Amino acid sequence: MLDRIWIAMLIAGLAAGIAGGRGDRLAQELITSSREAVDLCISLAGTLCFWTGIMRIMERVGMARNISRLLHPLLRFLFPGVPKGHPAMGAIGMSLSANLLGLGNAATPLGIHAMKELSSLRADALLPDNTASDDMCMFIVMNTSGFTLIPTTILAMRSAANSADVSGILLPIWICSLFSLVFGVFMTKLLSRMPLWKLKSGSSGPHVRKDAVHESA
Amino acid sequence: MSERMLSMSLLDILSGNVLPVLLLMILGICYLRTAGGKDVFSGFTEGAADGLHTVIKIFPTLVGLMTAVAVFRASGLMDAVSALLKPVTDMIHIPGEVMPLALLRPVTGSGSLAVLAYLYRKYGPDGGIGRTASVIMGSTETTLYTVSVYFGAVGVKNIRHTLVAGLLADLATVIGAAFIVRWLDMG
Repeated sequence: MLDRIWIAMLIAGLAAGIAGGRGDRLAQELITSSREAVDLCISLAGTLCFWTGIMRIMERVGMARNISRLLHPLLRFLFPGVPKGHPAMGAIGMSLSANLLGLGNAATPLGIHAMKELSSLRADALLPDNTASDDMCMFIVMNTSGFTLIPTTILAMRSAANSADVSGILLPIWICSLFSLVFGVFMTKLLSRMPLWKLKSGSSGPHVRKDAVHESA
Repeated sequence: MSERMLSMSLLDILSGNVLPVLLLMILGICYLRTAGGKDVFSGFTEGAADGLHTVIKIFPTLVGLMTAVAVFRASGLMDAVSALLKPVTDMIHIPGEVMPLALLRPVTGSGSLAVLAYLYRKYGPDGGIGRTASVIMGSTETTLYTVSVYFGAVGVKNIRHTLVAGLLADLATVIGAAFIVRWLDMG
């Protein structure tokens, strides 16, 4: 995907620029932009390193586990297909908490672990192997909404751009990402009931399996 | 009037102290958990080294993408995209200038970083456009990447409504970002 976007932007840009008689500006940009990438990386590095350092400490003292425990009641409501006490719930909680704290390095392996746990539940619900369960869809949409307590990259980028108020952006980011998270969750619940996407075996979860076995017997 | 001034100063105090308070809380918890901060600093330096590694790893990507964005912009195509989308962006009250960022954000993290750097340089990080762009960048993830990595890990092909829901949430973020920035500016 990135391959295509990159080459399309360059070819379209160069062709349109040359055709529009902006060849000299293109030449200028080609030289200065790579130097700007160096400047950006150098001015990003300090802020980024400081916060990844703090994140490592948070990871070490197990802060994700605490947040996960706080989220538990909410998760039970959002993932109805996961039975009480099933390891999938713990995995979901840990992964979402790592995301919330901005522990990027820890979050992806935890997320994949959660997906594997959800995948094992899917077999219980007699879903076809290659089809996502409602809970899997919900988990991924919650991940893509990207709610983070400390958006390190933005802080680093803003300080690199000499912002007069680097952290003033935190409040609007929290409000906006909470809004988009809630909206995403709502849309996921709603769309899972649309005829196009509805699961044929009914809602996911181990309870369905008993009914299904009963019927066929 | 006085009520409005009060809420404004509360907001100022809140946003001014947010980062120090957060850091104090984090470090306070760490202090209690580690019996007086044992091994905390070595953990910090390890993590910071990790951050440097990230910067080095994204550097080649940024060189490539910032050059592509620069060429795309110098050719006039970036403005053309914004102008083309202007009827739509006006309708939902988004500054047209942030549209290239909004379109790239779900697809490529480093590509949108390159556009963000350009927007900061042209419009400044503290104006309406710069702050809207910050909120868009900070409130979303690389949706396509997340969907493909997580579903790929368990071999799911039929992803049902996941991508549609994720992209709708991204659209909501863009509209919400522009709205929130305007709303906070009004005090």
